[in-house]
Amino acid sequence: MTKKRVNELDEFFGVRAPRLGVVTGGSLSRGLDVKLDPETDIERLAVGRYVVVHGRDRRYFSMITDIGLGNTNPQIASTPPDMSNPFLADVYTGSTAFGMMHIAPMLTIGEGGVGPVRTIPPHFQDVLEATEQDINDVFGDEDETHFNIGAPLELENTQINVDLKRLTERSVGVFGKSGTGKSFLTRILLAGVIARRAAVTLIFDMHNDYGWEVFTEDGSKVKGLRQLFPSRVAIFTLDEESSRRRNATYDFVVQLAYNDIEPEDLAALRQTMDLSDTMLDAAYTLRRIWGRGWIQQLLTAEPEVIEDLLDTTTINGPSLTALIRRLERFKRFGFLVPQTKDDSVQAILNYLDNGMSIVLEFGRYGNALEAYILVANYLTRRIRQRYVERVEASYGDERQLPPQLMITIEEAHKFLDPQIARQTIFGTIARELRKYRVTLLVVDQRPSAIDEEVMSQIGTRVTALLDNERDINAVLMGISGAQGLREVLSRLDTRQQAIVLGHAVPMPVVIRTRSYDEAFYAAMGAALEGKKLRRAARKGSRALYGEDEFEGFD
Amino acid sequence: MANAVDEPIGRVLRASTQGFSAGARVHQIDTLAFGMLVRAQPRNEEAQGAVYGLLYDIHIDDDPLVRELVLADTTSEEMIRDQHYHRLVPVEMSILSIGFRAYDGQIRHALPPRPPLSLDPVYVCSSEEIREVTSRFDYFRLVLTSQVPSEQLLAANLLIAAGTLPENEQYDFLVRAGREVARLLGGDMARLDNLLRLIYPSTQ
Repeated sequence: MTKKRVNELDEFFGVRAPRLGVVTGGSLSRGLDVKLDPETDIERLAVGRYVVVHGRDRRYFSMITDIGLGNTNPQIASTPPDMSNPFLADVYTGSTAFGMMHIAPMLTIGEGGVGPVRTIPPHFQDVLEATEQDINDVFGDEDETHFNIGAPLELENTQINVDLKRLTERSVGVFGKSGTGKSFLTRILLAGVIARRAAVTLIFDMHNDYGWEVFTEDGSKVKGLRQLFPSRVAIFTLDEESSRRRNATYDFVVQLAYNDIEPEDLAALRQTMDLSDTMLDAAYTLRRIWGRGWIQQLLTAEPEVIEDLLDTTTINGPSLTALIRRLERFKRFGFLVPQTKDDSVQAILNYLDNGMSIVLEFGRYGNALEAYILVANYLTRRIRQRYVERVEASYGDERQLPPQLMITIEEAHKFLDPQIARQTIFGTIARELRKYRVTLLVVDQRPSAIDEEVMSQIGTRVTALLDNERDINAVLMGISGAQGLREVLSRLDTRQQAIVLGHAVPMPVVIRTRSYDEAFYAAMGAALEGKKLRRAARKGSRALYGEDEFEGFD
Repeated sequence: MANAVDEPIGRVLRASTQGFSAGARVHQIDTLAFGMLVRAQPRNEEAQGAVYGLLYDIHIDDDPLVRELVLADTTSEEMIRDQHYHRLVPVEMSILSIGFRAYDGQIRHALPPRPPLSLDPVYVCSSEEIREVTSRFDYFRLVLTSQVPSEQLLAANLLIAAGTLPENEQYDFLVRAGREVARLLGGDMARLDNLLRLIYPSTQ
């Protein structure tokens, strides 16, 4: 490799950024060691930032994963030089005592474009700060399928665009400890998916965070998805009163019939309702004997009926009593009724077919985990079944193909716990990948409590700060160079910072997430829709009052 | 100073590839300084073949007349001046070779292929030459591994070299040189610290 070749590459790639140091060692699996130049201010560096190694034939786009101090002679540590002498300080800093960093190459950029890292640069290649151009080369421009979710650290004028097609074709996880902005992150991702019509979404909105406006921790109001996309998002509610109190415009009141609840729906509640195997066996037996109305029949059964049941079946008495006690809790749920007026599942499917996303608000039932799990499981099982039928039918008739669906669930570990993940519909969906055009967006603060197999199938992981070692391990499972990212992940800011890794981004990236504010609304077209409304109102007012009478709407 | 550069300060007495000694008149001693960069110029060549070295010792030998004069009760000023101007014993300076100008015109920081010959003229290097020679620090190793008082010599040389630069460049030059020294003496903190303090004492 000649100097000429290096210069040609520089010419090809554009302007060189300031040099930070040189590669002094490392390996493909461990990452690269970099000795910092004396001029490099170590305090300006931070884990999670990008650097670029200028190799001989290609550039290695890398992330800083660790920063350290080194020396050429251990004696200097025991007898530090007189740093009050500025000359001695300037000489020793960067020579005998120097800064180091560890970087993880994430991908390579050559004349052939962006590619995975399969080799490493030779010794003593220059390591430079990543420029905005470098970022743009990797993450591309925002377009119909790429959505801006934030900017990399210290490069606020650039943007990280996730590939929405790739995001929605596999399941997505949004993780982070409590109070790190998971809901905002999720809202931004969902807004992108809806705005670009990458998929329709069904959001099981436990705390009424997504549909209508909510108050932030600082007391200000932010808009919900329905307000941003009135023509693309519908609000379904389980608690009509709550939605009405919040002035949330809702489109449909969801009710579930006792008759439709199957023992499989209870299986997902095994841990939440403390249901034992014998109780679930009893449920299956009752369903077989009494048919669809088994729950209501059980809850209203006279003592002699119960006795007869115990005599004629293998059901164990104490288990049956315990099952009845557990099912009594369902009576508190107003959305559970003997007979429903409308078929909620069909209503949801109709909206989804029309390209509408749905936010299902739980209202006061959001605080009852049993209700959340029961409803999410109930609806998802049936929707997924219809999707399976339609996808299979589409092999013969393409018009049957349903729209790509992304189901959003919170407290995901309650659905995907290792002990129940295999039995719940959510475990099945996560494992199926995109086969039936249904994927999950799971939001959780305890990723370590999610089944490993399910975690391994989550294509894109968006992770805010995590400080529990097991949670960090769970999120980084299966990610190459995970050791380095561990440091990054545990040092994120508690607000508006996240690491995005996996299928939808070319490489792991630490971002300062977009602010969910007026500028975001405007970017989502809310402003445009507002203008349309104002224009329509003005037109109507002229028709009613003439040109001069009306003074509003501006 | 231009005169001092144009005129030889002495001529080679003895030489080897590692260094040489030159003799100068006693009255020229004012132009000599420990650590200065000098050039022994072969008489039959142009610039090529010039050997560059650092002056690391100035030696003044006695002779019978000086011995007598030292013991005399009174020594007239005239006699002393006569000794300085007409004395037959030269001031001897010792020079450590640090480089040479090769036939391609480039200065190499290495021992010369052959030493200068006796009576070859020795010049004090001009500021321009000093800047050229000290633009790289490859000669540090030759100095630091020699048997001469190397820390003192290199520190003196660097201060002289810095003096040829504009004032706003001097500190950066010394820091860069200091870092190179630190690289070479990283294993010997005592020598390194001593040398750096000679360049820039703590009280400065």
